[in-house]
This record gives sequence, C-alpha cells and structure tokens, in this order.
Amino acid sequence: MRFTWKRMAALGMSMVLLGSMAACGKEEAAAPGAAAQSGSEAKETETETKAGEREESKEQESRPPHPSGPVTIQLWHGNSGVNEEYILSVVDDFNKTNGYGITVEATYAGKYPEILSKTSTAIASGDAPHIIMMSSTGIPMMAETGALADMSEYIARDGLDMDNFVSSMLDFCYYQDQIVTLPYQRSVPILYYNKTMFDEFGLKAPESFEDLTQISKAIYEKSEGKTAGAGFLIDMFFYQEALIRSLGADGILAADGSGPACLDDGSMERVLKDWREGIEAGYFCKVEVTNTSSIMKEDLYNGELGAMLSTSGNLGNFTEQFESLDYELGVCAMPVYGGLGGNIGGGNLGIIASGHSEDEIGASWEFMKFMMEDQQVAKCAIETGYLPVTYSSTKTDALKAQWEANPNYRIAFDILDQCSESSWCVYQNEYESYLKQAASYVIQDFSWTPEEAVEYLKEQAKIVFQ
Amino acid sequence: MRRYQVKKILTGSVSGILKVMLCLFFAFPFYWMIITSLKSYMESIRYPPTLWPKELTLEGYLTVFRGLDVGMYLKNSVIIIICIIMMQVVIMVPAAYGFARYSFKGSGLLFGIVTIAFMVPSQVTFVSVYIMFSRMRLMRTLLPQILPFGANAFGIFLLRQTFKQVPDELIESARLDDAGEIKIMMEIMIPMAKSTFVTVALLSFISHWNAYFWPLVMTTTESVKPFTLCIDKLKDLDYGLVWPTIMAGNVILVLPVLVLFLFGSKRIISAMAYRGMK
Repeated sequence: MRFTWKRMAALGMSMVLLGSMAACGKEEAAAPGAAAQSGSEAKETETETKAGEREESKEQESRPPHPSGPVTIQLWHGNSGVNEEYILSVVDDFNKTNGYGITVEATYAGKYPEILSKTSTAIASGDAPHIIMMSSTGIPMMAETGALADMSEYIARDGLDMDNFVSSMLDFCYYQDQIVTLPYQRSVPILYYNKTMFDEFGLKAPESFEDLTQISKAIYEKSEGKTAGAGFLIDMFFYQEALIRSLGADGILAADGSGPACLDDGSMERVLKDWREGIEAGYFCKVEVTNTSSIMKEDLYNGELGAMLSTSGNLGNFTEQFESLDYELGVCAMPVYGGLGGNIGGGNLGIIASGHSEDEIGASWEFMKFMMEDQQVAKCAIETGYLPVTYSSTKTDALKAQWEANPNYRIAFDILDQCSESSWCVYQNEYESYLKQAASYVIQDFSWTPEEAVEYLKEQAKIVFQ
Repeated sequence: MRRYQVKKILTGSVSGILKVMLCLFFAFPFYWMIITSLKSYMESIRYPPTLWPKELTLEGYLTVFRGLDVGMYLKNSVIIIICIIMMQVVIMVPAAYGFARYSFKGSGLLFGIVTIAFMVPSQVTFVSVYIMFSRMRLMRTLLPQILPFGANAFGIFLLRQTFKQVPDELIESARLDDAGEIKIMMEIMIPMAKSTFVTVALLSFISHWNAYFWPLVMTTTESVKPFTLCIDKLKDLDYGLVWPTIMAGNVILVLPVLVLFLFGSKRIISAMAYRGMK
C-alpha cells in the first residue's frame, strides 16, 4: 500500500514537472517571436490580430452554447382566433426548419393578466413555460423577481442589433444591465371613424382632443341626439395616460415609477372631468360595464356612433367589417390635448429562467431569434395587424406591398415617434385596479366626482407605493 | 253547473296561458341562441333585432370549425366525463352502501367528513392540488381534470338516502338466499336506485361538461383543454364579440346536455318524486 502511494506521488510530481516544463517551453518559444516582432510593423499587426483573435475566441468560449440536442419548449401566448392561426403557423415553420431538434408547443393561456397569474403559479410549482407574452404591467413584476432570463449574451453571440428595434418600444426590454424581453405584438391607440358620416356633416378628422370634443358635439347636435360623437374605453395605461401626458404630466406614474404623477397637477382630474361632461351631455358614448369595446363597435357599425378609440391591432377587423357596410372607414392617430399622440400597448416576449436548464433557455432563444427575423416580423404585422417591431422589417417587400395597398396600416407606424410607453413600475398591476375602480365610479356609476376619485387615488397610492 | 263549467274553462285557460308563458320564458334564450347562430354578424347587431333571420347562414358554425380544432376539444371533454363518471360509480356505490346499511363506530363522523366536501369550494383547494399534480409532472395530461372528481360527495349522499329506503326485509331475504354483499349491491341496490344513478350521472355530466374554472387552472397545454375553454376563445375570434360565432359554439356545447336532459328528465323527476313520497 505504502509502495503504491509512493508510486502515485512520484507519478504526480513527474506530471507537474512535465507540465511546468511544457509551459516554460511555450513561453520560451513565444518570447523570441515576440522580440522579433517588435522590430517590424507588419509583425506588430500580426501580433495584434492574433491577440484580438485570442480575445475573441475567449469571448466566444464564455458565450452561451447552442442547444445540444432535441428539446421541447412551452410557449404561452394570448393570441386567439386569426392571431392564433398565425402563431401556430410560425411555430410550425420553426419546428420544421430549426436545425437543433427543438419543438415548440404553443398554448393559449388567456389574456395578459391570465398569462401572468398562470405563469406565477407555474413557476411556484416548478413547471413554468419557457416563453411567455407579457404586457408592461407584468414585465416589471417578472423581472424583479428574477424569473426572466437575461438574453444579452445570446444577443451578443448572434449579433442581433438592438438598435434595429423601434426605439419607442424598448423601454420594457431592459432591466438593470440585462435584456429581459423583446418587443413582439405592439400596438398604439388610433381613432376609427365613420368617414361617410363625417363627410355628410362637413367634418374633418380631428387633430387634437379639443377638436374631437367639438366634432362630437356637432355630430350629436346634427343627428338630433341620436348619435354620440366618440367613445373611449377605460384602459388607463393605454388611452387615458396618453391624454394625461399631453397635459404635461410624466404620465399616470412618475418616470421612475416611484409613485403617481398626475394627481396633484390636476391632469387626472381634467381628463375625468372632460370625459364625464361629454357622457352626461350625450356627445361622448356612455361606457357600458361589460363588453364595452364590442358594444361601441356595434354602435359604430350601426351608424349610432361617429368615432371610437381602439388598438391599431383591430385595423384589419374594422376594415373588413366596413367593407360590408354602406359607410367608409376613416382612421387617424389618437387625438390628445393639443395634438396627436398615444401610448404604446401590446406585449413583449420573454424567456422564463426559473426552473429551466441552460439548454432549454438556449432553445427558447433560438425561437425568439426566429421570431425577430425580418420576414417573421413582417408576417406578424400583416397577419395580425400589430405594428412591425423592427425598422428593417418595414423594408421587406411583403410589408411594403401591404402598406401600399392599405395606407391606413402605415398611419399607426408613423405616429410611433409621438408615442411612448408607461413607466416601469412593479406596482403598476396593483395600482391599475384602483385606477379602474375610480374611473368606473366617475364614468359608469356617476357616484363620484372627478375630485373625489383623485382623492381616493391619492389615498390608495400612499398604500401601494409605500 | 253552467257557472262551474265557465269557472273550469277560465281556470284551465289561465293555467294554460301561464304554462305557455313559463315555457316561453325558459325556452326563449335557447331559441335566441340558435337563431343568432344562424344570422350574419351585421344582422345580429342590428337594432331592433330580428326574431327570425332575414338570411340564414352557417357562417358562425363555419368560423368555429375553421378557427378551432373542435374535434380535439370535444374528444378531451368526452374522455374526461366518461372517466369521471366511471370512477364515481366505482367509488360511490360501495361508499353509499356502507354508509346506508352498516352501523359501525365512527360512521357518522366519516359521513360528516364526506359531506364537508360539499362545502369546500374548488377555489379553496386548487392551489395545493395544482402544485401536487405539477410536482408529479401530470399537468400535461388529462388526469388533473379527472382524479380530483373521482369521489362525488353529493352522489354518495344521494345514493345513501336511496339505499336507506330499500326495505330491510328485501336484503334479509337475499342474505337468506346466500347472496353476498357484492351480489346484493349489484342485483338489488343498483336496480332499485336506477333513477338516482341517472340523476347523479346526469348532474355530474352537466357540471363537468360545463366546467370552466377547474380546467382553466389545471391545463397548461392546448392538447388537454376541454370544449368549454375552446368556447372561451370564441370571444376573441374575429376580434370581439361576434355573436353568431359565439352562439354557434354555445349551440355545440349545449346540444349534448339538452339531448341527455330530454332523455333523462323523466328519471330525474321520478328520483326526486320517490323521495318526496317517502
């Protein structure tokens, strides 16, 4: 036994000695070369190139590997109907063409709030999906709990140009020094109006909210109280925040997300007051408690409403329905106080890191990368009506052809420069429920005055943000 | 005599009118659902609404079948319901028979525990059940929608009451003829509780066919979703509430329940009436 130990120790020592000799040899071999190179510029460049190559290869070594074998990943989305058909076709294309044996299984998990709550439960139980669609309400919550994977390394490895994404859509992509989501199905609010009715009454598309108010009054009066001028839904971080911002406030929330920003400067009160005034006078459409959007659409189709705000994602549907009507559809950017504007809505895609292996995250990234290719972004915009999220996709023949055939689709993209996203705030989801409640008591129930609603929001904000 | 006849006619007419009105009151939503499913979208939102479509169209049904894999969802619903009902029968009969015909120490307490299941809503238990199935890696199967409903507390309660009404003499005479417990259960109890069986099965079928909350929570992949969740998706087909599409989906959803109710209604009435006479 002692003999064996001795032999093993000797063997070990010899190995160390041999290793160190080899290292010395390498150094010695390199040293003359280096000395020789210092005399010549060409050789200097060669050394720099070699050093650069070594650094590059080191960087490449530290970058995440590609998926090593077949893996199945779960995608939870909120697309139903034609939008689901689109996403299933994309998934099918990816499953057939990716060279790693990755299989994506797409599942409709409800709308954004449902996806968020289902994902939270799934993470807690250790059975989370790999990729999910999230809105601005959910991204901060997921990011701050550390559930989202950082895609920076993958983006660097594959050379995805972040500057190619529409700049106003990037606010919810970054968390600290990480890239946690990528824009996917984004939209802006636009005004859909009955152009035939507008022409009949000698009206033009509104250029500001003040303009829209006057137009609405004119429609209501000229139709002898039978037709409301315009209708809006309660969607505080999509429609109402754009109005609040146009009055000079940061938004509903402060830019750093630390608290409310529109309760003391009177902007929230003004928005609620103008809205309620219009509903009470009859020139703005009353807001039903359920199915509001559908009811407003029906009124618009029936000629009982002049205009309504809706997401640009509905453009295809409005266009199709108006084709079967006697009216012509008019589309313009969302009127806000003093001009046109809007908030950017819709969702981003993110990878869930919690409970997933590096291989699964790598496979999820491959799918994300596929979705961000120009052809796929253009396909998404054409088939779903959402906005293209990259600049280069707008140069594809498919998208160019669609914009040429239907210039209305371009309107939404063109106003993106005037639009912005909500502030990053982990409490947005919680605070939004109080905002909805307050707006509902003012606009639907009429039991609170705008002043009372603002006071209520101040009280709730104290609790939520403290 | 004449006055009596007038009174009789009047009473009969009033009663008849009331019955017709009541029938219309309950049947009208079904009529409206079917009629709307056969209208075009524009006609379905027209005001005043039409009681009969100006132009009959199957567009709503075509949209449902084009937009959704109806066959897969229906298949899932059917498998779930068949498995649940089979499991319930296997568990319910011996349990109800034990509670009805045996008096043993703690039987009252045990029966109390069973009835507690009535009072605990699924919203209370779903998180722990979800985590359990998730850790067992069963979320992508139909089992989370089947196993928790294997024992039907209401069925055990109803069947126990029915078994209790079977005369003791009948059972004793069967025992005298060397019939074992299983034979008594299968050949005496079950035939005598046929109406209760149909009632429990029908109520179970309706409740699980229409189940929404549990499948919504317990499914994490499309391939295991039942038909009710597919109906939910119709709300967003064509971006909004397209009534003919939604109603077409509802007709498909309601049809099996209606057919079963038409065939099973007599049984339900007799099951209830029997207990009422006792």
